[in-house]
Amino acid sequence: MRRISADTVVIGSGFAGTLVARGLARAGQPVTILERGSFVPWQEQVRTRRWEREGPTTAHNHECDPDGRPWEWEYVYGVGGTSNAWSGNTPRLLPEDFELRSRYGIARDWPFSYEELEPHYAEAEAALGVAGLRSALPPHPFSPQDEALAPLLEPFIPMPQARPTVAVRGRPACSGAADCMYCPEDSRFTVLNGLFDVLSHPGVELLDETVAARLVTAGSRGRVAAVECIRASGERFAIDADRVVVAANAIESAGLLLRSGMDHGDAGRNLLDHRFADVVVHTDTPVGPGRGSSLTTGASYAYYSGAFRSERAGVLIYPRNPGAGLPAETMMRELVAGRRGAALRRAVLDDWERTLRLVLSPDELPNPASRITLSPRPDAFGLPLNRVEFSEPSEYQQRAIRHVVEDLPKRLAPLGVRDVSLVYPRGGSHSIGTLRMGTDPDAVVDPDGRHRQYENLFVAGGAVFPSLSPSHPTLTIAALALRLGASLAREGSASCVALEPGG
Amino acid sequence: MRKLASLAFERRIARLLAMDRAVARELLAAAWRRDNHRLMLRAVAFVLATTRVASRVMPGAIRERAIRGFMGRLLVRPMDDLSLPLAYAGHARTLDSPSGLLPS
Repeated sequence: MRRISADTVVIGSGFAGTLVARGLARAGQPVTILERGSFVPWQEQVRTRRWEREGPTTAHNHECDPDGRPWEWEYVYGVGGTSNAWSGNTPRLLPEDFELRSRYGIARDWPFSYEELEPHYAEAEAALGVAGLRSALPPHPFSPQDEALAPLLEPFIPMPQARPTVAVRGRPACSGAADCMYCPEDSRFTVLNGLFDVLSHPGVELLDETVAARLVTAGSRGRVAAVECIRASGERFAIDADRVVVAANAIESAGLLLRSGMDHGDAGRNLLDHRFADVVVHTDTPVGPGRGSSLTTGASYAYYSGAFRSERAGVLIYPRNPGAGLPAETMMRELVAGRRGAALRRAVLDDWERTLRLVLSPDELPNPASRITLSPRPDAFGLPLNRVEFSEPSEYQQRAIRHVVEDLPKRLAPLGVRDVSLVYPRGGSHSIGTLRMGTDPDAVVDPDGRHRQYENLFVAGGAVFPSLSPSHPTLTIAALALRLGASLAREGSASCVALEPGG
Repeated sequence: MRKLASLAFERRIARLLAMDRAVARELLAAAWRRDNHRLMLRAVAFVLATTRVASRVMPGAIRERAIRGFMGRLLVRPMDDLSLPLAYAGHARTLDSPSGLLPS
C-alpha cells in the first residue's frame, strides 16, 4: 500500500473540519483535509439543484435500522460538506443548555459553561458573517409576521443568521429569495464562499473523492498512527499522521471510529436530531406572509427557557416568512362553489394571507438506544455500512409539542385564531451526539475534543455534543471547531512527534 | 394535435385558476410525470366539471369528485416547497426560479 505522511489530517471539509484547519493554517501548521465528495462549485449546485456529484465515493453509506422507523438523515458528500445545504440559522445555545443536569435534573451538563465558549461564539459569528443583535452585521428587520407575533410570543428577537444584511467578504446581502438551500446569489455562508482561503491555503492539502476507511492505531500508549484511505479510483493508500481530527457528521464520525475498533464507552450512542414540528395557524387577521428580507427573521423564546424543562422540552419557535403552502383545500372548495379566475385567486390568497406557518424546534433527551452500529452489509468499498437506530420521540418532547399546540391559540388570541394544525415530526438534518464529550468514564472525548484513549485523535462537529438544545447547532459546531483549531495550533504538531513517532 | 390539446389545457388551467401560464405549465408537467396513466381521465373529467353548464347538468357530488380528483394531483407540493404560494401571489413567474419575498 502506498504511504504518504502528514502532520495533521482532518477528515471532513464541512463547517467543523475547515474551521479547525483554519486555526492550524493560520499558525503555519500544515494540514491535509480528506473529503469523500467532489468539489461542486456554487454555480453548478444552483444550475443542477444538486450539492453532490455522482461518483464511487458519494453513495451515502448509512442505512436505517430495518426494524425501526425510517428517518431522513441528510448530509452532503462534497467539498464544504453540509455547509452547502443549510438554511443559515445561527442562534447561540443559552447558558442553561450547558447545564441541563444541574439546573433541571435531565440529560447531561456540558463539561464547560456558556461563558467559556462565549469568545468562540463571537469568533464564529464573525467567521460565518452572521447578522444578529450580537454580531458585527446588523440583524434582519422583523417581517410583518414577526411584527404580529413579537408582542404575543415574547421574548422575540431577530433570528441570528448566516444570511448577511450587508455584503461581507464577497458575499452579497441576502435578497430574500427564500431559496436558501440553493442560494441564488451565494449570500448564505458556505465553506466555499466563506472559507475558500483555507482550502486554497498553501499549507492546506485537500484530497477530495477520498474515503477515510479506517484509523490505524499503534503503540501501547494509545495513538493513531495512520489513516487508511480509498480513492474514487479504488486505489488504497495510507497517510501516516501526527494528529487526526475526525470532523465528519455524527453518523460518519462514529462509523469511522467503530470500524476502527474504537468502540469504548458511549461511542456511537446517543444520536440526536431535531424533530421539527410545523404548525399552521389560521387567523382572522391578515398576518402578511410572503414578505421579509430573508427566509426567517424572528425567533421566539416563549417556550424555550425555564424550570419547566425538568418536565418537558424547551422549544424554539420561528415563523417562515414565505408563509404556508398554497391553501389547496380552499382552492378546491371555491372551484366546486363555482368561483373562477380573479375571484378564485382573491379567495385563495385571502386565506393564505391569514395563515401563519411556524416551525417548532424542540430539544430531546439523549437516549443510548439511538445509535450507530456497523451493519453486516458492506458498501461498494467493502466497508460496513453505518446502521442508524433512531428511537421514537420521547414523552418529554411530545409533551412539549402538545403543550405549545394547546397554548398557542391563547397567546395568539388577538390575531383571532381559527384553528391550529400540526405536522410532527419532521427531520432536522442536525445529527448530534454519538461521540460525546465529558469527563465521566463513558465519555468518548474530553472537554477539549481529544479522544480519551488516543492522545493524538480529536473529534470536531456535532458528534461531541453531550445534549441537544432547541437552538440550531451550527454556530456551536463552528465555535467548538475554532476552539479546537486554536488549541491544536498552540499545541503544535511537533510536540506530538516528539511524544512518540507514528507508524 | 396532442401538443395543441396540451397547450389548450394549460391555457385553460391558467385562466381558470388565474395563474401565470408558466406556473400552470410547470404544475401540469410535474403532475404528468407523477401520474401519467390516470391523469388523462381525471383531466377530462375536470374539464367537463368546470364548464359553465356543468353546474346545471352534472350531479354535485360527481362534479366535486372530478374537481378534487384532478386538483389534488395538480397541487401536490412538498411542505417545504414554498415557491407555489409565492408564485401564485405573483412574486415570481416560474416555480424553478427564486420565488422571492416582497420587502416588508
